[in-house]
Amino acid sequence: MDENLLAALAGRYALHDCPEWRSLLRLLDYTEGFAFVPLIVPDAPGAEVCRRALADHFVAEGKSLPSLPLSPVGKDELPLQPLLDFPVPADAGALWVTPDPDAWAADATRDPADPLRFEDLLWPRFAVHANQARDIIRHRLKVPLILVGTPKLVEHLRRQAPDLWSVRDTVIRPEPRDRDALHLPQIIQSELPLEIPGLPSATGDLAETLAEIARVEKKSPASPALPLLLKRAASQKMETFRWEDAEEHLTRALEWEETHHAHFTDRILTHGLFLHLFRRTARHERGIFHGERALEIARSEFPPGSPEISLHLNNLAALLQSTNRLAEAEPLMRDALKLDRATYGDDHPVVAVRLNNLAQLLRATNRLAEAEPLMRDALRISHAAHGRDHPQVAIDLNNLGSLLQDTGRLSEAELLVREALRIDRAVYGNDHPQVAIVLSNLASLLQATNRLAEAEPLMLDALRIDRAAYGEDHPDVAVRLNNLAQLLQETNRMAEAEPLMRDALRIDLQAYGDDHPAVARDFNNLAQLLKDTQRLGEAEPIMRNAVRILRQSLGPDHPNTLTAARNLEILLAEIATSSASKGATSPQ
Amino acid sequence: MTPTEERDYLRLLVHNLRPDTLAYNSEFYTDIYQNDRGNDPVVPLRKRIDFYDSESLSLVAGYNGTGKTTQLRRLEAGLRDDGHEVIFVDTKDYRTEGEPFDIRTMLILVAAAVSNALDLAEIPQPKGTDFFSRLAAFFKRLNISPDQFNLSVGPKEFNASLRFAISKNPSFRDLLRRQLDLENVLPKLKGEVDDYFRSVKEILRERMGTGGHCVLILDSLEQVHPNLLDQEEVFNSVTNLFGRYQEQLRIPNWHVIYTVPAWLRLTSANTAINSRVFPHLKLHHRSSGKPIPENHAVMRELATKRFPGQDLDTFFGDQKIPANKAKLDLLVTKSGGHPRDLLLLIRETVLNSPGPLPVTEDDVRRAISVVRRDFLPIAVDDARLLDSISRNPAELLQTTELREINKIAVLLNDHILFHHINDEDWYEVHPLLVDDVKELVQRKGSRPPGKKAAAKKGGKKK
Repeated sequence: MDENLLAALAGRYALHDCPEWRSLLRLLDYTEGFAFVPLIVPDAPGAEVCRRALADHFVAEGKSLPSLPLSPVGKDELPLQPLLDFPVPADAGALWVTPDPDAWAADATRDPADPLRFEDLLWPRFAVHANQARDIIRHRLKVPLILVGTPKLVEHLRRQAPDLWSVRDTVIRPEPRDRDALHLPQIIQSELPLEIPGLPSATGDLAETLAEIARVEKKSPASPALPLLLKRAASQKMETFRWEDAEEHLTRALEWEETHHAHFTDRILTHGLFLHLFRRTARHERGIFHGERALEIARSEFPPGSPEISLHLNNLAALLQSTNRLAEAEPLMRDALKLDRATYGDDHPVVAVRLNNLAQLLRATNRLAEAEPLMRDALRISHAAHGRDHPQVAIDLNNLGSLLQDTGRLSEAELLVREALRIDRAVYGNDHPQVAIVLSNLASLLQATNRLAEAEPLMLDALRIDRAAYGEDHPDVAVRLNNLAQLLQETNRMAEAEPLMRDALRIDLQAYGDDHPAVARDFNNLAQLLKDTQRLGEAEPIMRNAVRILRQSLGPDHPNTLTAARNLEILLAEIATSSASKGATSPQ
Repeated sequence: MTPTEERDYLRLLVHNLRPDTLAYNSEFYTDIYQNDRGNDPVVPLRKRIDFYDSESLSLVAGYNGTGKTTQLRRLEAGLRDDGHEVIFVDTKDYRTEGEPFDIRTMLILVAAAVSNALDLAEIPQPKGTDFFSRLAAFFKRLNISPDQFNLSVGPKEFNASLRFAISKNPSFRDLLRRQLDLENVLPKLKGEVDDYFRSVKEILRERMGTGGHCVLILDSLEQVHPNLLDQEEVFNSVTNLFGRYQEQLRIPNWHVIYTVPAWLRLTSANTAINSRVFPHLKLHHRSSGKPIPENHAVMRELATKRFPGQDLDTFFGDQKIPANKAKLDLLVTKSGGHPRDLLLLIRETVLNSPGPLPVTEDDVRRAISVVRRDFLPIAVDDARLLDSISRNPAELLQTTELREINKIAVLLNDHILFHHINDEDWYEVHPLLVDDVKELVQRKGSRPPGKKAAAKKGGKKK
């Protein structure tokens, strides 16, 4: 197991300060001979942290903590046999019995419903036999038995080992601290960040910029100030979601630059702005066109191996990723990483950003095992370069947390996201949109672990922050509304969820028009809610719209398109069933 | 009290609080029916055996940790005092709790257990032939050979390997069920078993005075804990065995007591089953909700006996002060009258108290919260069911659907749901969980009609 992770976890568990842990130590102190103590932890790393702490405790008392890893065995073998045969040393303070740690840790990458999960194979048979052999266990062991597992262990003991369970001496559930104190989360935007240096400021008065453009055009249309002003205006328009106007300004700027053979850095910047514009509006093919132009210019103008080239490789890869052209994106991203490593060395923060982006690309292709070491490397570099409290560290933690969430290691993920939240709160204060992103990610993590009551206030807080920062009608607010609505839907509060979903849809339609993937997402979610509340007829056209938009904007093979298409199929099947049953019961 | 004395005191207390099955004559034994002799099930069972001169069949139901085995041991002692010969079998040695029941293997189990009990008590087998030899001969007559049970032994070792396989090998029992699953085998097997018991009675008669009866108590048959996949099959098999085959479970000229799951009365409403229940000690009245002080006192007595010197003051503080007395009272209330849960709550209070003694009310509340967590989480559907039961405690069954009954069976098994008796049966949610159930039901509300979406929602953005 990763020692850095264990060290970080040990800090979080802070067992010396944990009341449940002190209960365990008291029990061990007060008990002579056998005791039965289930110890419940979220995962294998948590178990290892506890084992080490208890072993240290015993060392101080001149005792040992022998450990017995368990594995499931064949049908006619007794899973208990290794326990009954275990030679308990004379100096043992207790016996630590745990699922085989490596096999157990592998559960983290399995689907919770996978019938091959190690714990699910082990405990049912173990529990049945341990229940029957409880007297033999007690007689043989003569020291406390600490049986380690996740909450599933308790389920199996309760059901299949009721006698053993009912004579438990206590149940210990050490938990990482700061569950409520810090908040944290996440990570990764679903899209990779673009890097567009020299982006004109969008602040300032748009009317003033437009007046200035008019003045320059009239007085000195050949002035290089004109394209700069047009680009500033475009940025300002984008800020208020007036995409068509922004596109017009950029087109004029680019035309000017090409006509007047402007410096290549200016042209690259304009292509960068187009990239940004088309990505926001999900017109990815046009975005890719500009990404390719920018890269072309950079390759021809900068000396080979320049770090500037890596930046455009990165941006083009990000655009390709948005349209799910992952196989094309990956070599570009790897080239960018290679180039920056050559320029800056292995441990530079720029390299950390490249590692992170490549890792996210791998994550998008579900190559989680390949992605994880890259993310951990990025985090290590950011730590070393910026210290523990830097916002880049928070981003890295957030990203790694998301990845771990994908692999089912929720407790570790939660730890990381909470740490990212702590950093972002310290850096930005409690009311910054970056904090809202992290809160939202933490909430989705809690939602994934069914801690819905804990998730809800975080989502409300994120919504409050974004509303205050961006106003009521910003697409980020729509994202928050959507997430909150899905949470409410999960807790069966359909009537509360529906207006939030409709509000999100209104915002996205207003911001993006009716053919944007964000709108498709809203349509999909709303249709699911209508279906769940049996308004099938109303759901159908909405769901069809969602699929149409996604096919057009992301392509027919994008995972989101496929999910929506499957949802549509299910809906149609349900409509068919429902009309068949109505037909069957209606009078002829 | 010095710190060393305090530690010694707590070590002894933790030792005394061990939740082991208690001998009825232990110093810790408390007669929980002392105020409710009418509901003490030992009295009628003992009278029934003592007064009937031929045979009887009794089904008794009880819940884990409520003192059922202790009470059966008390019955055993009483019957011995009355001059009867009693064989007490813990059937856990002969079956696992997930196995389906079946009349043929049950008959074999019962006879095998008695055969082993005779050997253990060094009582000679009738005609020098134990049941396993008889069984091997029986199989031979049916042309069933050892290899049909995957026992690779010669005919001579067959009986010895049967002795081992019947008690230790679930796969063997599974094969046994299938090999004997023919309608015409049952009467022959029943005849063989009855014949063995008749011979055993002859042997035992010499040891008893006149008027003595042979009694067989089969404990732990109520332990039925199938995994989720087999649940329905196993629950049905229990109902079938004690319902349809009840008459076959009688043994001529023996008094037999089977422990059965308490939920059996729910699944066998239309059969002739009439089981007797070892009820939970109720701490309040059903209709008024008012506490029953004499039963609270019984639970206090049960707890007090575990404290060194029966001294509560050292641990909880001077019991003449109401706030100190309230600490144990709170634990008693939260135990719901369940003896083993009360011991667990006190033990957790010991472990959760940073010291020094006496413990504080906070320590007590922390302990309650720790034990409460052992029952969580509760599934939403279960919470809804529990909520409806707690609003209509006498109307356990809203439906006769097997699924619902099985669910209630599991809740009773897990003692999340308590079963009380006065003049009628009524049910109560474990006091540790009442608030959680309410809270969950409030939060989740009632489920709307319609199925839940099978596919994940698309395109959720962080």
